[in-house]
Amino acid sequence: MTNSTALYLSLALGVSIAFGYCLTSSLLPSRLSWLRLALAPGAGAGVCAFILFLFRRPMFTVEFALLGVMVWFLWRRRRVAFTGMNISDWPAPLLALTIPALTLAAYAFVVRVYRMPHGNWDGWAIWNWEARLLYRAGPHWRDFLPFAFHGDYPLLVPSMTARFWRYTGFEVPEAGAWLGIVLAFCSIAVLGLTLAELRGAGLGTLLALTLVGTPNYLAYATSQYADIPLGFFFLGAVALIAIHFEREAQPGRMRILALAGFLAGCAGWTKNEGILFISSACTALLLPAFRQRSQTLRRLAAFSAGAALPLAVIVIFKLTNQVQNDIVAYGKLQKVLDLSRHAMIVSYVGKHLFSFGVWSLSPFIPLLALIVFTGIDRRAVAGLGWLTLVCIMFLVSAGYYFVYLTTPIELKVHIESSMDRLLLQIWPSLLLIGGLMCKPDVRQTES
Amino acid sequence: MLRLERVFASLHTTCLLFDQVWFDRVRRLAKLKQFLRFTAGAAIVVCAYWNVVAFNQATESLAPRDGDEIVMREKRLAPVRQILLFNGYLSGEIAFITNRDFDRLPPLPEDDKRWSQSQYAMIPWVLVRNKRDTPFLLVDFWDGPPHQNLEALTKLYDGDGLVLFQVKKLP
Repeated sequence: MTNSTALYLSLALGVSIAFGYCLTSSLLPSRLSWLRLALAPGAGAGVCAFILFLFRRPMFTVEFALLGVMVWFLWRRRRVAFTGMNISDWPAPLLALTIPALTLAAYAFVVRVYRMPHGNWDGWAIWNWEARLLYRAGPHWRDFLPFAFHGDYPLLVPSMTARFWRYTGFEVPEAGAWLGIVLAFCSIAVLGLTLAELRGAGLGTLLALTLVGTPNYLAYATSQYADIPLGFFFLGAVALIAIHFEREAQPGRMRILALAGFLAGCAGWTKNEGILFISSACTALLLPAFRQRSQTLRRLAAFSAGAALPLAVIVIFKLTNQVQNDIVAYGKLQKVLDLSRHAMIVSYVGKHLFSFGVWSLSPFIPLLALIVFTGIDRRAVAGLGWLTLVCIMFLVSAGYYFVYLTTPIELKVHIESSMDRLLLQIWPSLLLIGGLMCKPDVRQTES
Repeated sequence: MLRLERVFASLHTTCLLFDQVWFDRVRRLAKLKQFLRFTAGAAIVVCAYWNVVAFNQATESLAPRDGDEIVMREKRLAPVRQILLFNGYLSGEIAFITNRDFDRLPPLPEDDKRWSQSQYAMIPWVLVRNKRDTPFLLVDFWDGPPHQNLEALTKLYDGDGLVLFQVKKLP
């Protein structure tokens, strides 16, 4: 990769982060300024992917016009300081613990991307395949979707790769890895910052380190698959829903939910599992309707407002795409009654649940011990926020289970080729939910 | 009266002692909990570093870039793409043939793999199988010389086990 290519790639990344930062800073309170920054690359990727899909050719015109508006917006807000859970407030030993691990991971990323520039099998066969269609096939790219391996898959990841190529002017195979890497780091930051904000910097650091120390998570970040970006959007939405519920006294709570809705919508534009996530989140947010009707409806309205644009794009894509989904088969519902299928799925869940991260040294016992010895916050666990998050993850997992149950593909092959990735998608969110069970750090609460 | 005072005094002392013991116990328990929490945290840090280092070691053992199958496939197909563009065939169908097609046998897994990798490299051309009435024919002889004589066709490229034939003239 030459210097000018790296420069163009950085420019493409910089523009998308600027879009994302404008979006997050207009919807999140200034107290969460570091979280705004951590969520910005993902939100920006969503904005840019929608622009590419909706405008295609005049992409640069639209992006630079929007950039002008953004610069004006940022100029007006230039006095916003990085307050709240400030990095400089973190104890130095915690930062000293995290930075070397991140550096080691970054080094491995560089080596992996250099040696596997096209990513692993699904990376090139699905996601880069579609990216090449968007880049090479001109306005007729839709005509080629029936020849793709999963032509019905949403386009956030391929759009971002094709966008990078549009910036550089030619195909740089490594460009497909950028999104995964950036969003893997952002997931680590979002997990750490959210827990630091709600429970304490120590817990935030330890759980962020647990995510860094998940080898399979790091491997998929450079494989050019869509699972790490999807996991980021799940985590972002779940983190913002948690903050919404736990910071009831603060103003602008509904705007936090709108951003959660946007990130959930981006999940839907990343993979079909994201659509399941949107419906699960809406259902979970709607559950307290019997107890707090008006409040619940307002929450749902804010979440839906954020998800409206992504959902509109998903609907347009699905309606204009002739390719049908080949994994979900609702016609074969008699499979639901087949006990051997249930037994097989459960046995595979048992097998994969503690090994999906391909850990050399499993962190589960220390994690459990940490939660127990920090103490479980009974008030938080019984609270609406935590229960909503659990409900979302339960519904998403139930959806995955149902897809396995009814899959037209041979069950064993389908499970073995996808279960570890499904678990990796929800792993950052599960770590957050686990961390939110703990009692907050008293010193931080007092400060 | 004096006896009652003594009873109260001893009760008071007992209470103080109990309080002290209880306080010590609670304090010790809190300290123990703090110690265990610290140990769990330290174990998480050790696990994280152990796993990241193991991941880095696994990364070092990856094949070099030139050994990557897709990189190799892209290099092999680059001249084919050039020739197709030179011939004014910008997109459309190309028949993809292996020796199994000549022998009328089902494709081997390696044939499937090579077809999918070649298709990825050749986008936006569509590599079709079980079809030969396309303007061009791409033959992948990865497992030895062709099992059929194709001399009647116009050969446009031959190299590295790949042969590109023109079947019919473009309009």
